[in-house]
Amino acid sequence: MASHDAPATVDAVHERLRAAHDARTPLRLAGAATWRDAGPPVADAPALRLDALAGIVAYEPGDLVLTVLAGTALAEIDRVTAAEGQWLALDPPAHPAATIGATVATASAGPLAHHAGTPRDLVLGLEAIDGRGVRFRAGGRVVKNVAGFDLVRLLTGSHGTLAAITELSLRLRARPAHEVTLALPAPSTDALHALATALRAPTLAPLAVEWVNAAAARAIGAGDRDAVLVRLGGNATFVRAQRDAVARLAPACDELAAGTWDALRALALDAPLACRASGPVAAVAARVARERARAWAHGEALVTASLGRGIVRTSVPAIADSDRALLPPSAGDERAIVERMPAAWWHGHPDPFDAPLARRVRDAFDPHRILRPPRAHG
Amino acid sequence: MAVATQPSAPARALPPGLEGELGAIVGARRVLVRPPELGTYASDGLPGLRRVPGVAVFPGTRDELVAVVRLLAARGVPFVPRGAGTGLSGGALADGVVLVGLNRLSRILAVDPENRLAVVEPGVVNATLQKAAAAHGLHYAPDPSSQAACTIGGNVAENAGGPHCLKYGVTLNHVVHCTVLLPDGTIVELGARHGECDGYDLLGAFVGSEGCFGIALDCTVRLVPDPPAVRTLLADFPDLDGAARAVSAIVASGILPAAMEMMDGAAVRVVERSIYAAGYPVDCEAILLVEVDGVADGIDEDVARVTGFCTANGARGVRGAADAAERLRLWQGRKKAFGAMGRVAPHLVLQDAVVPRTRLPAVLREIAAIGARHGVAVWNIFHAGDGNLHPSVSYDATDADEAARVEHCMAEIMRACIAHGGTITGEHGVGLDKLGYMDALFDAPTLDAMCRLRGVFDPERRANPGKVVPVHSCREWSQAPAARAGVA
Repeated sequence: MASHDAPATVDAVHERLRAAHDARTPLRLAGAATWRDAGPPVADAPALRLDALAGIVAYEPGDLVLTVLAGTALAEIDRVTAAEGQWLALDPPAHPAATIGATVATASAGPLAHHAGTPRDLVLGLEAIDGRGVRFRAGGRVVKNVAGFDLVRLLTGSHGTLAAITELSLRLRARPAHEVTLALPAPSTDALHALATALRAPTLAPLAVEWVNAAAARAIGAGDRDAVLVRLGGNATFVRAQRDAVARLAPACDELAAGTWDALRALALDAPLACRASGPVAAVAARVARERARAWAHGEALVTASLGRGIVRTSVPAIADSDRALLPPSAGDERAIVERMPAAWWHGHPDPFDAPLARRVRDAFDPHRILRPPRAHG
Repeated sequence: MAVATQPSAPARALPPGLEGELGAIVGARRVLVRPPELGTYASDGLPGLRRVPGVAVFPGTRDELVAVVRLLAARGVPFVPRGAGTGLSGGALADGVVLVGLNRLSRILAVDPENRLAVVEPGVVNATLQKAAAAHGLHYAPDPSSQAACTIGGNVAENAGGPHCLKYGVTLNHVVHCTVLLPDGTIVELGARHGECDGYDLLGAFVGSEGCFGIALDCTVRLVPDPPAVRTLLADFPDLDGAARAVSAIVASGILPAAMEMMDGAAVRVVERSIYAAGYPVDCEAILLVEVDGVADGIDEDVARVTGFCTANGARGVRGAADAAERLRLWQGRKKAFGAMGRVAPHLVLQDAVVPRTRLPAVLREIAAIGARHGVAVWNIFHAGDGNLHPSVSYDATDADEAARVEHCMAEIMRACIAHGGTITGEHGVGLDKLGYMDALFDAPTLDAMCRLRGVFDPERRANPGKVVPVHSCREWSQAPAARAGVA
């Protein structure tokens, strides 16, 4: 691991990026570096850590808008907003020290995306410094804004290839006054399709609907069989009635502790292999069955699925080269996204940041490839 | 800000023979060149701005559209895409260049109720899509007031909103994929019909790019289930300030209504004198129209709390729509309010700005004071829950003195909104109308970054030239055209 540098002010970050650009010295952007390296391997350039760039810039609870420096930890955002009965409804698989900047840069989301969407739906504005050392801002601190071309969406999910995000304005929601989480036994493929469809009925409005395989269920204390976790939140009447309606969908169900969701987020963060399979939402049960079968031979593989979004995520704590078969297919309407895998496996794997239009984007914001410099696959 | 007397720039010379070449693609009947015909396309929903296109061409199929854009690319001719022309920022005006009308590309290609998606051509009217979705108990959430006429392609270009975007989000949150024809004639897929995408969110960049990044050949949009329960409330306030405070209180409470709209007393009285009379109280100083929807469980508790916030802030009464017919009538008054204003004066200027929701009471007081200072009666009809203001003035644009006062008044209102931490447009776009405010809102490096993003899609800047970002902000464009040619 190369040495790292952690400037604590936006000016200092700006200075580092300008100097790197002028000297054509590559840098690797990182938040708290709690995630294993995501995406294709990069040259072993010095890391520019952004987690010292932390703190609340502005918080007006009445506006449900929070502005923070991008190195602020997710746990800190949770603490500050909870004090006002609010939350940033974003729960990616992550260490509590993981930063909001890295979350947005990787467009990471978790089960709550069922209700609240992904970072592209939650970021109202940002400030950033690009690979040319130019500092700019995008969007604003209001909830509706179409002034100018959308640099917010451009940088959300850009994996640090274009700019260092230094500040973010985020849309908050009221934290539900009451919450309950139910675990339903997960049925076989056909019945799972029926259950997933029933859980999408307009008469139900869950915060999250997450299928977990037996290994994941065991790890979070949700029994020792495949299960469907349903998170409900709202006023007391809502939660009571919705709880009963969900319970009627299964022969039996258990109520789980609120901490279940935090436990789920913390699972296998060091897994060397993590990937997601997605496609038509209506075919999610078949996708779950397929990915479950693929992981079957690998007893430790953790498989979870956001049923309402059609996404199945597999993470494998320990892998051998033969586990390459665990990678989901990408064909037709089925799409695979690899979060992490061994560097050698990337050889021959398409790099989304190297597609023709993507190269033009990088030419515009990081023409000298200071950020995420390419490396020969090995 | 639009000035009625602003002349059209002298028409640029289009390449000789272009009309014939376009006619060979779409049929001579679908190419307009005579000034009386072109006059129809010289304005959009914004009064005061007139820009006469050099040629207007109306492809009838996707293949014709592709051939037209490729011809324009080969000839190096700038063009402006246009949907229904209902835009409110002058974004679809073509000054001497080629206007590409998309309203004939109006097929709904697929409605997929299982996956809750629809695939449409760009010229499909928003309300037509709503009808197709309704058969499945679904709807397309963005509902701009012009939805009876405006097209999905135009909605995507402008990142359109509407009253129900408060809860359901704007167009950006509902488009999952577009097949895009870049200005150079290349076809690219942005986003994904199904499943997740990796790489840059170029679909997110495309939505709201106001026709400067290319033309969507088709758009895949999300459909959402019709809510099983809907409660529509009309709250009647004796003063504007109380209504504004009620909005701030409801937002801060965390209840997320589907829509929360405000109309001031003057606007209410105009609507009530029109054919759109909705039964609003004519002696009020403001009404709030609040719609709470979703599952039936617990909805009445939320309605009771909303009612409580209104009453606590001075509402004289809060009543709920008794049935669907009354709900439609209450909404009709709101959605047709700008039409009703046509009775008052020949021209209407409708501004679009957003402020933080906690600032609504202060900003509305300031708007009233600014109007009084300029001798201009400013109406407020707006998406209160988003803080998305639409200060409007009915006036006679041919009266130079009145037009000048309106212009100064509106400029001052925009500056006030920016000073309160707001933005210059929430849903209408920058187009030509708001170009002059971009410098006040964004610094030079930010505007230059926007120009660089545009350059990714349209390095020659032939798509909707001169819109969104002031030309002087694009440093690379003015400084190093030769170097740019070497990129990509």
